[in-house]
Amino acid sequence: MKNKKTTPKKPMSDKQFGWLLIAPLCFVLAVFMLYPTVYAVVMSFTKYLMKGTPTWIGADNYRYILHNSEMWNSLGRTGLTVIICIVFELVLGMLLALLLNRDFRGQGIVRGLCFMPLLISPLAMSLIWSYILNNQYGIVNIILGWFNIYNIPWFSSVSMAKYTIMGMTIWQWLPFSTFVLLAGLKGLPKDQFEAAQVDGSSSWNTFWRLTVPTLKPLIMIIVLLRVMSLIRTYDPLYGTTRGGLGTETFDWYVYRMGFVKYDVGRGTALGVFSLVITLLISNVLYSQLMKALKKR
Amino acid sequence: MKKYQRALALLLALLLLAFTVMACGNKETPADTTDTTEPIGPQSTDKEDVELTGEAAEVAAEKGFGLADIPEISNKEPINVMVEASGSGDTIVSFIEKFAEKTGVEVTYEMIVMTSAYSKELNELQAGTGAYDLVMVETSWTNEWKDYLIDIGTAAEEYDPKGKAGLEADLENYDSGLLRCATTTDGVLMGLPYYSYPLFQYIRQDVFEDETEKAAFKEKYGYDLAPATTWDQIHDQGEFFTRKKGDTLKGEVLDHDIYGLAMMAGQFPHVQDEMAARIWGMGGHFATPVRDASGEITEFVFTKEDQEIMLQACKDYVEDMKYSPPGTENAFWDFAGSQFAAGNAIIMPDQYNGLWTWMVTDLAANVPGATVVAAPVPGMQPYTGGFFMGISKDSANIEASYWLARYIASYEAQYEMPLSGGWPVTRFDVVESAQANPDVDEATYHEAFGYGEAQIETAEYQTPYINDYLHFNSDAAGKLYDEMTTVFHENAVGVHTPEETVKIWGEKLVDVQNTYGSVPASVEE
Repeated sequence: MKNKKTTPKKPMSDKQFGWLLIAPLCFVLAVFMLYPTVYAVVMSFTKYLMKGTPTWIGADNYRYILHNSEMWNSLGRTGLTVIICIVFELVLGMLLALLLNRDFRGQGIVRGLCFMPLLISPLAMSLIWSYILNNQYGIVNIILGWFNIYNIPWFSSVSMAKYTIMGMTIWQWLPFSTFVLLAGLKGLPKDQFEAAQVDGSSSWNTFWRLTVPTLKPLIMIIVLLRVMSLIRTYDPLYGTTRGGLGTETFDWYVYRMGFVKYDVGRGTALGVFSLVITLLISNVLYSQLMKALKKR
Repeated sequence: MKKYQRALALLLALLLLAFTVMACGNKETPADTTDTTEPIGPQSTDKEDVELTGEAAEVAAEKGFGLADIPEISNKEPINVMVEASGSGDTIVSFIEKFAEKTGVEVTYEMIVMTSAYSKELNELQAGTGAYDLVMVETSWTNEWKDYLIDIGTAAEEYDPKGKAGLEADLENYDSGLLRCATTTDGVLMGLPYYSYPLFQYIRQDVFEDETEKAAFKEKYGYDLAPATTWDQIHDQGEFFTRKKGDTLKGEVLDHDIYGLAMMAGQFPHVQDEMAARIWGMGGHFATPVRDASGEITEFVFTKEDQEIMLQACKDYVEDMKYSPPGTENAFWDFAGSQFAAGNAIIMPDQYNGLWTWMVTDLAANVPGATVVAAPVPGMQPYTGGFFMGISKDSANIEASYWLARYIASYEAQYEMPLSGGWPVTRFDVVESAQANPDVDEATYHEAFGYGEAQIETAEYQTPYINDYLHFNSDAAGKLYDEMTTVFHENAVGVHTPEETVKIWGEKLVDVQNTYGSVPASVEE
């Protein structure tokens, strides 16, 4: 009789074990991200009003949205919001980061206070600002009234409302860029700056030629994340103008199409259009980020 | 050691997967759909309950239906109700509690602002979740939502001992115009209106009766100062009462600017309601229904005449904005109401009856000697309509839902609600009873029902016209309403000229109605 030879179980390789660990995440992503995205793309080629069955209509929904002036207007406004907000968030964020990078008494409290806007829900934030900036009863206009400045139409003038919305957004997200840049400033290599000082470089020259380039990867991360977020600007409008006074953003337009008209076909077409734009911009920014990291 | 680390990591991964699967499979009960849902229980509101007394109680017993008339409900499944979040909306809560106590059926409710109600409710109805047994239905959604709701007559037939006939007998006491608004184009009543909001003029009675003001107005405009009956008169009165700090009102020097008209031009549904009052009042339509020989609507046409009237209404609205307080461009009823109540505005040319009690009490408190009176809007065809409780086809307890809908719209509840904090009634019998009731003194009547006569007068005039309003005939009315809001707001704030507004509305009408409605629409060239 032949001895039964037991073959030892082959241990799982690190690679296999790694896949096993990320399997739940892949499952979650497939169910909650991949499937809805593919489903949305399919639905964007149908006419479906949440009643009956979807009807295949080819590219009609895309034709509709691309020929719709409201869509282009809202997209233009969103583009303006993205540019203005990012510029202000970066410039002001850098200034605040430079300030907070210095040692002073009570810096812990100041830093904590600076962080607070980020902790407020964007929806609550929009409601709070709508009261603060109310034309007649808002605390800001009341204080301005003491200086004979009356009735600033923060949310009630077509020429002003969109900038007020941008101001609210900047206020809320400024801590994000501030603290990312502050972290970057804290981690700057000291020897290069000491060398620059020895060489007699001016403060401005050191900042512009050394600090900014060294922080470039972080700046690119801020721009990348904020672009992706700002394209979806929605909450600040909810408690204030609700898209009125020329403030309708692209996402508000998508909301109206998808959740007021319940036009699943056009709504998903807009969603896919938004996704493509976001991916294109993000791709460009991401490659810039990678370049910046390589240079480092 | 590495072996244990792997095992631990594997365990964590499995736990994550298990949580994910559990989260997917956790079916929500109606009661926990949102964290704003509050159970009915001992934690009732602070409002005092007003019990019917004397003649009113007798009238209720004879004519009306009340809590005592609700029979034993066999189905004890809890029900979930949607109600509007507003000052007077809170009033309904104590009546829901009374119903729950009497019937033993647990009732939960969610409060939602009007601007979000349409999409949130429709989302659940279309998905057939049954999350809401009773939904708050704005009457312009009646045709659009008919596939998701049970008609009230069928529910009466099944659950009411008196059957449909009992319900129909009670219907005679309602504002018939409101009932038409809650009825589909094929004549099916979908629910009983429990909250109305036809618009009225709110007028500072003390100012209109002041001899100095009357004389000055007559001298300037050549006719008597009285509640306006035309939109031109509204314009004149707006101009006349817009005054700067240092000017006088009723002979007294003003310490702040005041404005003639408090309006609601923000991108909220209310600007549409104001425009409806003007357009209908001038004999126009958002689109005129074309009917065949059998009376069935075959098309909606935005006629030349409609276009001309809308153009005039848009121009008038923009002109009248000059006489409204700063901030009106982003205003809805809360801003307009607070301006009037603070004494900053003299007239609200078209405002909901739901603000009545607030205006009466706050104006008197803020401006000594000031009083308010209601009058029909010029043209007497204001935006009208109301809320009714629609019974979801997916409700697990249609029986209890039917009886709650009946009770909230009943004589008894509708009589008590105005007296317990303000409520825009839907029945004429309660106004008549309050007038006749010696227990209700003049001041109480004015505070609770002071708009009633203007409402009855308006309804009697307007009801025959309602049948031709686009809002209550189109099955895409909810979607059209949203477009109207945007279009007329943009006219009011100058994003578009009145001429552009009329053109844009025509395009929107055709696009929305032809995409979402069952009857086509066109623009007459």
